[in-house]
Amino acid sequence: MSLLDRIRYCQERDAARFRRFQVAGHPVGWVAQELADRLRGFPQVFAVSREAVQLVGGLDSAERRTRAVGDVILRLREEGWFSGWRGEAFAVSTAFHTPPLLQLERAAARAFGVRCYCVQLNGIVERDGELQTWIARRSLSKPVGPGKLDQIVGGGQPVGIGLRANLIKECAEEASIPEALARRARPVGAVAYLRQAGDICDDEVLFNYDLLLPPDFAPLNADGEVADFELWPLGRVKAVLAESEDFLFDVALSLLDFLVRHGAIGPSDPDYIEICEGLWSSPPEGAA
Amino acid sequence: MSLLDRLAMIREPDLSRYRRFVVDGHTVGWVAADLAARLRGHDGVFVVDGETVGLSPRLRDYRERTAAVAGVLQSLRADGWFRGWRNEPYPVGPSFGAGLFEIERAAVPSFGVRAYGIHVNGFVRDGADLRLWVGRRSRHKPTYPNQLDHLVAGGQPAGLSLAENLLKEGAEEASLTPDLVGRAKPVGVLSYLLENEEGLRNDVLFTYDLELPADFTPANADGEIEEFFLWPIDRLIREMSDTANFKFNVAFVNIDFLIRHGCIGPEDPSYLELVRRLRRRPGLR
Repeated sequence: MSLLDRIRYCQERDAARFRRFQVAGHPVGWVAQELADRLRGFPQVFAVSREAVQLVGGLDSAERRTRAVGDVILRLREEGWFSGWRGEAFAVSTAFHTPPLLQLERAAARAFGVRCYCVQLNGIVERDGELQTWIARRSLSKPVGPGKLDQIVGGGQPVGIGLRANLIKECAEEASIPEALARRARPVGAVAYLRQAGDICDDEVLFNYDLLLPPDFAPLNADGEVADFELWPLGRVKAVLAESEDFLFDVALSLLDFLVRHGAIGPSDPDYIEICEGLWSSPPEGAA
Repeated sequence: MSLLDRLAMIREPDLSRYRRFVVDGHTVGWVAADLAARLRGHDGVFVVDGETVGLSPRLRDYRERTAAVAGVLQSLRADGWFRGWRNEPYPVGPSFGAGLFEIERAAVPSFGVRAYGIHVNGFVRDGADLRLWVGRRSRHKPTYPNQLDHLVAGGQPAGLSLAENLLKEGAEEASLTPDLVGRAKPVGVLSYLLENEEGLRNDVLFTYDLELPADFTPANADGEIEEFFLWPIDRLIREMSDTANFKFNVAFVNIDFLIRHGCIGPEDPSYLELVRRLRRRPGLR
């Protein structure tokens, strides 16, 4: 086991099991063969070929697409196609700052292999010149990654709210970080990956933030999504990342970036170059 | 004009126009057609076919390969092939620290060999704000004269560790004491493969942040830097956005610095494209 295993896990590809999901001529996701075949049953909404799943030409506005696809998704939900239904709308677009082509329920967005955006926060404490970071253990009732280790705060980016506002909301819900403190969080970059495994294609961009917390601050979960918090030295984060799959796999990518930026992984680590290069392994926005 | 303009040159080269440079079973670089044709004239050293350039199997070890290749490079140099001969040996191999032989630095882009360098962001805190030390390269430098540079930056030659190179370059370029150099913190790697007027730049830059005391003033000792400036971040962003005055790869490292320190945020529409372009596509060596 090594840190590079965490990178390689995020880079798994299995293109033969998927068809491209295209909207208005733009490739926006990947649909597993089995789901693509089921979508043939909705010819008034989906045009399914051997290579691609497209929306029919008549669906020419975001509103029409959202409504038509939403109806199909509700039917498929009854048939048990989606796990972890959230009741949360996700925007599908060609790039983060471009207007959405349609909106999709978050659980369905995952099944359509649509690019998702998240905010991830490193809650840092400085003691005697050494950095420590707050680590959360996810609640056993979480639909994704129950019991896995996580950063102090992290969350998907829903429709209709800015990144900063979402981060502040998640800070309050997940760790009871007051707004005034949460506002001091600093954007420090982003990591990305595209992973195809089983019948799921995860295409995710994680916006990373660092927040220096006062030594006497203790996070307290308010929404039941975190079982407990612990303050870890960076060396322990590195060791657990290298030796286990205890961290949620996308959180691991965000944490590798954190460890690199703070020098806890350095040029003396044998895989340093490959780890740094692997922090972004997703195609460009708007590209195939 | 925008910061993204500084990264426009990071485009995947069409490698079908190059021949793979293969030594001991490892791809160690990429050679353009005109150089490959020229190397055919040295068939005791180079083995050239339609797809690859290799070294003669007669050359069995590091020393033999280095000596034989050096002889050919001298002959090419006499024909005007390389600009800015440095007499600095660079290691050639499949990965960092695994050299199969050495070649002269000036020939590295012609062979598309992966080269390594160190770049140090020397900065000062001013309350909540940052200021970055910027150097102007000597007008006599063989490469990129007069362009703006880091406080300390340099290629990674054969036979030095990164820590030794940091000490050496820190002393030569900015009169940094070993104590100050020791505070430099590794903060990542930027790697890219791009074509420019030198050839194929196949680089890996080890980047460092070095927080300096407010009363520190750099002094160049080797004549390679003409002057230093301490710039506030808005001055740096303006220069980076509006001009190409920074040496091309120093601009890459500066953008990474601005992103890591939150001086540019995700509200900037070009943010993700900036971040993405600073990372090489996996598998593209």
